[in-house]
Amino acid sequence: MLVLSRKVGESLVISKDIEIIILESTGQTVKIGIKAPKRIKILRKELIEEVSIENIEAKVNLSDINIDYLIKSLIKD
Amino acid sequence: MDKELIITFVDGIYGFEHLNRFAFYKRQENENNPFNIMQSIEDPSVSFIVIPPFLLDQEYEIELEDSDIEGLDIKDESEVMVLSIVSVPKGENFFSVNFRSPIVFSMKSKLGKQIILEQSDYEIRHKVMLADN
Repeated sequence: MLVLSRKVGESLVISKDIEIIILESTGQTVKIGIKAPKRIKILRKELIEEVSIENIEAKVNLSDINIDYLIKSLIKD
Repeated sequence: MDKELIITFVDGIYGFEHLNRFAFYKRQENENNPFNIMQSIEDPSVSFIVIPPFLLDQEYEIELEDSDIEGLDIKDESEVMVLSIVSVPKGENFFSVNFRSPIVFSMKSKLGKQIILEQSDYEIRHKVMLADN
């Protein structure tokens, strides 16, 4: 992993078209700005991890599923 | 939806990045059944229950990014299918529906993707109370 020190207002460039700018730093929090082409997807890592965990927990055994019960719960709503 | 539809997920889905092909089908043909099964072709032991989120929230909407429209080869809105994964935790009185990261695919190109809505208030676990047994 490359480790760099940056001051507020400084930035760094990845490839040619992605720029990461340090906007503000207060205590433990760093506010960064990212300039990148629209095709580059930027996601907070914890969100990816949370969705991965949710998918893993949502996995079902086909033999255990009681669809009728779920349908009944929807109708009740 | 077709009786059995096979969709290719080039990147897999989150947590199952190695699984690229999923079949979508109804377990029981019943007009009142909005739930579909999403089952891995490569590992049939990996299955999910999915439901169109619009059925739970009529105002549910997402905006696809250009990169997704391109990646899924979507030409027209009418070919897009949006489904949410359902989770039924054991011992709880609710099930939850993932509004935050829907499964999106094109019925035409048969390409799909799980999209994470970064800027959104939708919940990963949108709760629906279970009926009393």
